[in-house]
Amino acid sequence: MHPSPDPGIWLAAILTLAGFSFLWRDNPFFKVMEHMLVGVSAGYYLVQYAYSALYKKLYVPLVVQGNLLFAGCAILGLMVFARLFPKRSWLSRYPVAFYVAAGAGYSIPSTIQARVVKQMQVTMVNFLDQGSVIAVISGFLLFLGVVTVLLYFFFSAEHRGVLGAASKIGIVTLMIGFGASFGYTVMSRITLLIGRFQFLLGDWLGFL
Amino acid sequence: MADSSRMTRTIIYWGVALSIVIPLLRPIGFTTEVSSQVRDVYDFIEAMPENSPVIMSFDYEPATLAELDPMAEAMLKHLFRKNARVMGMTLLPGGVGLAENLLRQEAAAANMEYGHNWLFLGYVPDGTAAMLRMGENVAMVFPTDQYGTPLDSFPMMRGVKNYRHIGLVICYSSTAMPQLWAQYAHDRYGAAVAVGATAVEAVRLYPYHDSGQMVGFLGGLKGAAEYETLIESPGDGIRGMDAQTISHVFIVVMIILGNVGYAASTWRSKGAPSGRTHAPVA
Repeated sequence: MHPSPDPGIWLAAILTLAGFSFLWRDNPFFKVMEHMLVGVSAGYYLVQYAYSALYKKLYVPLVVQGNLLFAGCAILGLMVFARLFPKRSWLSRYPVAFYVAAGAGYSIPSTIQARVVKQMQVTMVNFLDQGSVIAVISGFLLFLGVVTVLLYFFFSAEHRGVLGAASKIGIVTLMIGFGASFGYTVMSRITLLIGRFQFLLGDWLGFL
Repeated sequence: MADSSRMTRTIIYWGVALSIVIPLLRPIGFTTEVSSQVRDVYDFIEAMPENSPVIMSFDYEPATLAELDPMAEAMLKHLFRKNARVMGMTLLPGGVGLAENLLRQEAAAANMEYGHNWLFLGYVPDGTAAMLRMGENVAMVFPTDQYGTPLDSFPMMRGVKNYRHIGLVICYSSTAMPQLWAQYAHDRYGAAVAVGATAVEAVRLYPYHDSGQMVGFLGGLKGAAEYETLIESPGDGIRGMDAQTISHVFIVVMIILGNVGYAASTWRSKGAPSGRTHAPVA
């Protein structure tokens, strides 16, 4: 056992244990840790935003390089704060409208292309021509899953007969998807705990 | 009843803790099978010419460091072995310190020189706009590196203007950022995109790999362990997999026991009043 001599590691370890103490019950150690996390995060984020956005993206181009185009951006940005003054709050709608319009303009066409058209193309391949038995089965299951899940969400006709059977396969497919997603979530959460134990046993206590 | 529920929770907490601590202290050495999604990323980097420029976007924050740091570390090792020119950046403010630390640590281990082999571009707000503008000109988004030095003064940036000159874009993320990189950098500009994602997010990436919008992806600690296996450099990924496996077995056993217990209590409560084992017929 070789405990770390670094006070930063000790502080992190004590705060980690304070976080774990919530498993016992809410207590002052946990409260201190929680408030420190919120305070430090807020300070850190404020500095990052101020340096990366205000300084590098506004002050440098506008004041240092004299690019007056950025004055318009600064005015639009300042207009957001008009919300703080009820009589002038309507001014804040202009930068929001600009942002929504620009965002919709660049995201709608590319979202349809990337998340609908491309995915449909992959579903339309000939799954019988895939080279191996496993690939053929995978292709068929993919095709069956996509079609039946889409039919499950088709609400313009009663789910009876062929549509009822297909929607049942669809819901089974959805359940398998949710199960896989839950399994991955468990794996993810356990990994976070492993990371903390690796830190406590390795970096802090020197057991690993 | 409340005492029994508290006791059950305590048993589960201790069980999970021990199933992690014991394998960490006494490794078992389970082997890791490499999936095609991870192998495709490895093969792509292997096939890249020497000195290829690579963008690494560290789009994660301390909450998911345990999952994403090991894979970023393994891929940096591989890229530095291939003498790739690594440009680190982040689209999340909380990622600045993590990215900077990891880049410095791996560059120092591989004797890589700042400005020649690697750079840290820092954080840029509005991720999607940044992804799009980098397709036109990287220097428009990052006129300087994190420390204020103009980008065109670095030797490694010669001949690098936009995605056309970038060998690979790698995104590490615990959010939907990888899909956005595929959507904007790949679909619009044709950049090759690889992803390192948390296990929660990985399940959503299979369609993008199948459609060719992503070269491949590493999912969770398992993905990191697979990559470490491929580059033959064991790290936190492989070390954590024993604990992951044992804790999963414990959780599966608990789920089975919980379901059996629930079924038994339902069966008892239905059967108790009249001795019947099924609901009466109306």
